[in-house]
Amino acid sequence: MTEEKLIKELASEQKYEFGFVTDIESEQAPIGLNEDIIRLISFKKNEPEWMLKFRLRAYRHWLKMTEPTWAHVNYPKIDFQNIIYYSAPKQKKALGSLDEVDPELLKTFEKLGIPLYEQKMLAGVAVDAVVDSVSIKTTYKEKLAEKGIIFCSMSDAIQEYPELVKKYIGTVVPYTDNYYAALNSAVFTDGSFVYIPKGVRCPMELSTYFRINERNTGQFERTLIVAEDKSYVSYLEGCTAPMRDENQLHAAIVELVAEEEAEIKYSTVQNWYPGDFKTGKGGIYNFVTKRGICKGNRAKISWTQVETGSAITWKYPSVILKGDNSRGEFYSVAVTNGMQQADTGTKMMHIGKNTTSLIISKGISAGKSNNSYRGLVKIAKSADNARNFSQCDSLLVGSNCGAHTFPYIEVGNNTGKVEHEATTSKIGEDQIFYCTQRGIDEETAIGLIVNGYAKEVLNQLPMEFAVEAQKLLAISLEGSVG
Amino acid sequence: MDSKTNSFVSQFSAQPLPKTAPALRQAAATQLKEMSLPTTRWEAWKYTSVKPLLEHSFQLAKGGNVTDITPFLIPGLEANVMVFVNGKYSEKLSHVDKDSKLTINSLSSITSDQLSAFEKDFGQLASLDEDIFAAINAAYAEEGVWVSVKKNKAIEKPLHILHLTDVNEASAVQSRNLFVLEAFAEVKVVESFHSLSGQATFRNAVTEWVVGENARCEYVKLQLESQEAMGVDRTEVHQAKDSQVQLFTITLGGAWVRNNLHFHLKGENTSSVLNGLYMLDNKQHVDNHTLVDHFAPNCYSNELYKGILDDESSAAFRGKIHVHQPAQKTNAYQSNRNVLLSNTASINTKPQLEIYADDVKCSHGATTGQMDEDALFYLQARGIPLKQAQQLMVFAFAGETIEKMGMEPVAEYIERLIENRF
Repeated sequence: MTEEKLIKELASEQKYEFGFVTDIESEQAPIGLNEDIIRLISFKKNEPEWMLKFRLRAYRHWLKMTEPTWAHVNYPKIDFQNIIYYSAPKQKKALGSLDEVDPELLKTFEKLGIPLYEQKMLAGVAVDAVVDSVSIKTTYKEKLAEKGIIFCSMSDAIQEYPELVKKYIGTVVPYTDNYYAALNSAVFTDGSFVYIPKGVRCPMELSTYFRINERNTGQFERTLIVAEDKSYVSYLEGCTAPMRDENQLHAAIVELVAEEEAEIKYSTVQNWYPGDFKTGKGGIYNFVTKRGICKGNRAKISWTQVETGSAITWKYPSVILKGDNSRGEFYSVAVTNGMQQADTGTKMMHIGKNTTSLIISKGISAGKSNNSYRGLVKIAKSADNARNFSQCDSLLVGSNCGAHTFPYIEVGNNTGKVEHEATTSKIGEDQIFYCTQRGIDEETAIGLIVNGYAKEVLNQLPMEFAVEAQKLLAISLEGSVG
Repeated sequence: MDSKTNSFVSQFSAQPLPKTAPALRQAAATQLKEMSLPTTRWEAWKYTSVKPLLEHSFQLAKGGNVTDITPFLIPGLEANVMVFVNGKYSEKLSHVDKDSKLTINSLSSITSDQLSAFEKDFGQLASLDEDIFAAINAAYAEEGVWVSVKKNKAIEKPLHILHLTDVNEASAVQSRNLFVLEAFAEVKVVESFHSLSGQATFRNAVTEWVVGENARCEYVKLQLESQEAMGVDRTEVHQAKDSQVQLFTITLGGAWVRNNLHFHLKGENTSSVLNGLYMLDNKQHVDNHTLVDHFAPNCYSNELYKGILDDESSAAFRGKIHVHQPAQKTNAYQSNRNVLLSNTASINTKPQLEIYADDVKCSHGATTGQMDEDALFYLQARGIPLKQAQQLMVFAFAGETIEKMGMEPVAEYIERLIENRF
């Protein structure tokens, strides 16, 4: 039986390719969190006064908040005093060229398949690499600067473009937003900053790779992308971490600002270590706040995510559709296997007139995992002729997993049109029969079906990464995908 | 218990506990002391605030002078009629056929030799957890209907339960129904709620259905009270294998209405159909909160709730299909469709799926929109005035739920009520 075979193969231990540890000396802050730690982080990064104030305000607010428990996930309480909030690979001076980067680090990125060497670049992708908490190297910086595009690490941006950062940071995700956003605002250490000037179409894909390396550290990065009028940018992030027995926290914030007629395309291939396959021990807690705002008229923000890793995923990339005729899109494939838990989805807040949004979410659950879609579509009173279509499908593989859908639809304007559809099913016997009848063996048939199922989303990824994402899907559902 | 809750509960707890099922009532009264009124911070009450309930000081409804019930009867429906005036059973106005295989009783008229049979099922389904209204009802609701149908008995004549409130001050009424169907039994029930006066009222109703193997029932709830009336309704349905239940919740009246509906599908091969229709105007608010629990394999459930909202009315819908791990081969469908007729009406909907079995077919859908302008234009182009065209469209939209009704006179009655809304 195909189904049995598939389940058996899924149940077999699968390997996490990126589970190695790199042996680099690193500089760490003492374990735990208090105002001194925040001052230390700010001092280490040589930050201006306003940044420190921002952090402390966030920290004091965080102390007053309680951990949210509404998500459909279970995990032991996190001890926030048992985390190292700052860890940086040790380096003596500022890097002038790539040759000065620690060879161990370069090896790490080679293993990850990330081309840091600019000359070796095939497709012309600018890369910012972040290990633990610190940005290691941003490639193609100079070439982008010619067009006036700023692509650098967040710490560099705070040093070099403080007025830009000050203007936009915390405007889309204020530190009061939620528990993890407040924590991140207090302790974030790095991330990427992108600024696209008026009328500029970014000539290449921008990309950031995040890597957690040290034990006991948390990764708190913060990404800010600002696209001025009539500009365009496509951005991709990828994440990996070593295999460790303890859980590590990743609480990031991503803020996108799209001005008039600007377009931001944000893609994520998330492959943090998902924890032990059988016991669920270890793995990353991925608690991320991602939000974009279509500030100007006719702006567009599109989120695409392929979620295969993390022990627990808790993230809802959202779009605030403030400008008239603006558009928000959300494409997601979330695969859970083993003991993984995912509670993910999106929020589309329609405020401007004639705003449209599209949500395509595909969940695949296998093993003993739980996969939930949670989303909100809100049509405000002011949003005349707003339009939303949502499609949330779940695929169940094996009888020990769960697939759940929790959509919220709030409509306050009668000219708004909202449609939501969701289905849950397993791979149909008739679908497999159809393929086998045409001489396609069962194994390949399942591969075809799963790939076809996720295709709508994978098609949205930039070409170079679509291939990678397909490979990831294959690893996550190892043995069953052709 | 906070002070708000305390003063709300005291409107009911002034009286002694009813004599039926004393143990259960005592337990409920005790548990009640630990409970509090829900707030909008509770996930289940996110879109409905209990504030309107606290604006009045309700007295338990007394007296009531009703002599003629004909305006409230459903034309063409030949039925056993049980009448409750201000929550009290009126034997004078009721008419119930005697039948040895069928027990139809008001709770107050249960004789001591019937008591053990009644207490076996009473209060077994409506759990009190996080539901203060159910707890108040379990502790203090004196009156209601107890119907018990013996094995293999099909009741041809429907039962019409008529609730009338006739009060001259802000009043509260409780009712409590228990329906027990043995194997292969069959029954049809219509329960309708009307107000005779324009006073603010609060109705707290709980209904339990225990549906045996291969039994069938159709249950129509008609909420037709005045726009001053408020109410919380809780309905629990337990289905044994091969049973079929068809349930309708029609809400046309009421200022503030919360309906909790919960299906427990415990036996295999059951079929459950949940239909809802709410048609609101002015400032009416209706919240339908439904849960279908699939515990057993091979069950079918289909839920369709439709809403038509005008003026400043608002509605909320929560539909949840919960498929537990043993419930393989489940077919479960759910749909919530709404039409907003004015730009001040609003709807919040949460169609949810929670699924732990793999071999299932489940889907849900929700749509919200306004009337199709092309369709209106089409009708107008053929000489039909706008108002009539709108009426036709609303009729067609609402019709989908009503036409499934087995009791034709009831369906026609509802159609006329919708017609009169224009």
